[in-house]
Order: sequence, then C-alpha cells, then structure tokens
Amino acid sequence: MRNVWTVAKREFAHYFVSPVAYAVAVLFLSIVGLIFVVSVSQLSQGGEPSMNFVFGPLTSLFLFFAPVITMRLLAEEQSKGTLELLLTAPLKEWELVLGKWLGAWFFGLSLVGVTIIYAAILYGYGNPDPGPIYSSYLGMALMVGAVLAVGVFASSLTGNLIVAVAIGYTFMLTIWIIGFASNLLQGFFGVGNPNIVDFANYIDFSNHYSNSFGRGIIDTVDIVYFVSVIVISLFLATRVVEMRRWR
Amino acid sequence: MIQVENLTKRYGGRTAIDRLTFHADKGEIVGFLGPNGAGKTTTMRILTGYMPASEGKAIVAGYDVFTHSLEARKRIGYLPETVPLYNEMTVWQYLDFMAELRKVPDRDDRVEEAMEIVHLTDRADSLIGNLSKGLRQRVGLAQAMLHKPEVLILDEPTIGLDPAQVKDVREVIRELGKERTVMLSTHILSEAQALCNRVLIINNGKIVAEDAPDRLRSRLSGGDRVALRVAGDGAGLAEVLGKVSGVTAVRSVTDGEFEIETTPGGNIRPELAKTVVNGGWGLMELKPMGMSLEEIYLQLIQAETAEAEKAEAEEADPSEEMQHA
Repeated sequence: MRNVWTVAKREFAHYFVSPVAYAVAVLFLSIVGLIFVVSVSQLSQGGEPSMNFVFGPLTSLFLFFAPVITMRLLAEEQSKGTLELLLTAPLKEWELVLGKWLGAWFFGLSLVGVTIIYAAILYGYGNPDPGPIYSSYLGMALMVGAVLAVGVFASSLTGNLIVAVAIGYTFMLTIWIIGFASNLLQGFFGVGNPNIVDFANYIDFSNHYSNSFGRGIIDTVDIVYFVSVIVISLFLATRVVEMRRWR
Repeated sequence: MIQVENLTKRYGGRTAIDRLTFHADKGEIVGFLGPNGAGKTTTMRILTGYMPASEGKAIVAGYDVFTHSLEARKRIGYLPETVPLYNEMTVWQYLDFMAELRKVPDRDDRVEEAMEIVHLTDRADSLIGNLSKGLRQRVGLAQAMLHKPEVLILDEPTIGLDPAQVKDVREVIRELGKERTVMLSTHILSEAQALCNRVLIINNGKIVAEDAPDRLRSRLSGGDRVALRVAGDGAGLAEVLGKVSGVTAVRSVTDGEFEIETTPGGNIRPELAKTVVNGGWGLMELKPMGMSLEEIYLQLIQAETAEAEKAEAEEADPSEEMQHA
C-alpha cells in the first residue's frame, strides 16, 4: 500500500506543475462560477437557493474534463518509456494503477472542493437545506472517482495522449447516452422486454446522480454503481498494463 | 549473481534470443556486445523482469525472475536504453521518488550519495527537462544505484555522450563494478575492451563468443602480426621478408610500410630486424600488432551470418527438388 501512496503523491503533485491541469482548472472553475452567478442573480425572480445551481452542470462538465485530466496517467508512461522503469521497480501493477487513479481523484476532489465557496455564499445570504448539500458532495466524490477511473482505463489502452482522450470520450458518451438509447431499445424490443431497458438505465451515469444524491437521497444502489464502475475500470486497466509485458 | 539457462524469447514467429546460456559473478563487469537487433535489449528486459521469456530460466541475485519477480527486482538496478526520466521533476525530486518507490532507508542520505557519485550534486534542483543528454544519462545511472543493488543492468550506458562524459560514466561504472555485478550492453567495441572483465558477443540472438577481451583477441586472431616501417619506399623488401622463416604473409600498406603476419608463438622480430638492416633498408619502426577486437567481432559475425545462410540454402534445396519432381 505504501507504493500506492508514493505513486499517488507524485501524480497529485504533477498536476500542479502541469499546464494542462491549470487550463482544465481555469476553464472548469470559470464555467462553474459563471453558472453560479447567473443562477443566483435569477433568484430575484423567485426560486430557492440551492447548491444544485452548481452541481447540476458540474456532472456534465466532469464528463468532458475527466479524459483530459487522466489522459497522460498511463499513456505518457508508455510513450516516454518510463513504464519500463516502474515495471522493473518492486511495484505491482495494481499498485501503480490504483496510485495513478488516486492522484487524479485527489486533483478532481480539489476542483470540486473549490465549490465549497459557493455553499458558504449561499449560507451567508440565505438558509439552504444542508441535507442535499452533504449528499451532493458525497455523490460528487463518487461520480468524479468513477469518471476518472474510466479515464485511467482509456489511458492504459494507448501510448498516445490524443487517442487516450478520444477513447475516454467514447466511453463517457456511451455511458452518458445509453439512458436515451433505452427509449429506443424499448421501441425495438417492445414494452414486453423490460430487462434490456432496465439494464441500459442502470448503466447510465446520469441516472445515478441527479435524482438521488442531488436531491438529498443516499441510495445504496447508486453507491454500489459508482464503486463498481471504479473497481471494474481499474481492474481492466491493471490487466492491460500486465498484458503490456507480454508484447 | 546472474545465472541464465537456455533463455529464449519469441515475438510471433521471430526468435529474438535463442537458448542463451551465460553467467556473471560478483565483482564482474560483463559486456554484452553485438550489432543492433542482436537481442541485447530483449535479454536485459527479461533479466529485469520487464517481460517474460518464452522458455528458459534466469536467476538474478538468487531469485528466479519469473517466479520471484518482486524479490529479484528489489536487488536489480536498471538503466534502460531510453533513459526513463520525468522531465517536469527536478533531479532531487526524481531520485527521491525512486528511492521512496524502492523503500530505501535514509532516503535523503542515499539520494545525496548517489548524486555525488555521478557528480550531479550542483544540479539537484535543476529540472530534468532542461538537462543535457550526458547529464540525463547520469541521472539515470544515479537512479539505478540508489538502492545499492547487487546487480546492475545497464543498456548502452554511454550512448550519445561526448568523449569527456563517456570517460566520466565509465569511471562510475568501473567503480560500481568492484563490489557488484554489472552487466552492460554496447555496440562500441572499445568500450567493452576498456570496461569489461568478460565479453559476450551476441549475434542473431545467439552467443558467438565469450571470454575476457584480451584472451578473446589472442584466441581468435590465429597468429601474430608485426608492423614494419623503413626509410624510403622499401622496394623489393616484401619479397625478401617473405622468405624469412615463420612469415606467413607480407602486405604493403603504403610506401615503406608493411604488415607482416607470422605463425603464432614464434617471436621472429629480431630475425626481421636483422634482415632489414643487412639488406641496407633503413629500419624506422618495428612493432607487434594485436588484432583489434573490432576485427574479431566483424570476423565472428560475418562467419556466423555466412553459416546461417549456408544452412538456409541447404534447407531450401530439397524443397526445390521436390517442386521439380
């Protein structure tokens, strides 16, 4: 486990010297800030102050930023030959992959963490319900972990950063729109075949955040969903790294 | 320290290394010499546990690299061909990271020590991305010896360095080789000659010769050779020299310069000198010439390649006949 921590620490520190990470952070925080300002200014026309101003758009933003945050994690190790260094050090493949993901997750959490400012502002001027805010942060942490894990898997598949991003987007969009597709599937298979529709809806990312965590509901189904996405993605990434040895 | 038996690696249908067997003991610097694509890097990658072999056995520092990979890896320091560095880290950060990964006790001291050995102390806070090729190579070397490994495996450690840097790096390797086992690959013969206690010449995945560089030279060169220089153009000298007993061949290099091949063992230089002086040619220089490792190497590789071609031709023949029939 010490190895995991060593790798994670280096990865996390790397984000703070990487121009790409700064670009992502600036873009991400500007968009979130803008949305917050606009939403708050519209409160004069009625409505309740809520952190969902911020968290709603945050979920979709993370789908777009995650592959960029994770692209270099394993792809760059491969293209620069440093994977050879890590795989000949006394370090197991799963420790490497888990450490990489943890580093990215900590970076993702620090981006999300900045939004605590908005929560503080809401509390300063109003009296929002704290329940949904806590549950939203929990859901956010899980969701960010899951999309980054998918990104780590995408990055393990190639030695090219652009390709890693492209694969990442393909995965993200697939699980993002599969819920929509479930309506189509329903058309194809008829209402009498609910298994496929249920499955597609279960796989869909968006069904596990806004209707539960976002509303203050903490449901085991959603926690299990995100944790299994993380575990499966990291497991696959580990296998891919192991397979690289055999080439 | 390193024990390799019948090591074979196949990529698809191509055999990169073919039943290699060799060993390296403590306090020995073993050179792996061969043309590009001979299988040097493949062998080293197997020894360091980076990739598995198709067949055979490799034991490094007492541990089988396939079955006890982690234990073996702990005891190996490895410098791959492309020096694996993180450009955005400083020298100190990088070495500290590697030391942490290798669970080195007294990390700060060991990093300091490693930087001192390769003369990088004044570059501790430089970004690796800003370092020259030679300095990067030294960072790679420092990384390989951080954990005081019993076995050091260095893939082309001096490639791309300028002569002064080459000298520096060789000095470091020689120092390390005193108490450890060092295995290095190179295609530069003078390097193998200068550094190694033992040389393995490898071609097409097979070991074609193995010995100390000096012995390899005397064993394979057949006879002795003598260089001779006289004043003037030395007209007619070649014929006279050819008659001296023990001379097998005389070759004129330029006007007044000759290369004489003799039967091995017999020292006929006094005889040659007498012949030249008595004949009235002004003797300027007379010195023994060893066959350079370079020549031996080329000879071996050409012989081996020719043999392989012959074997192929023989294999091809019957099939041709069958086609005709």
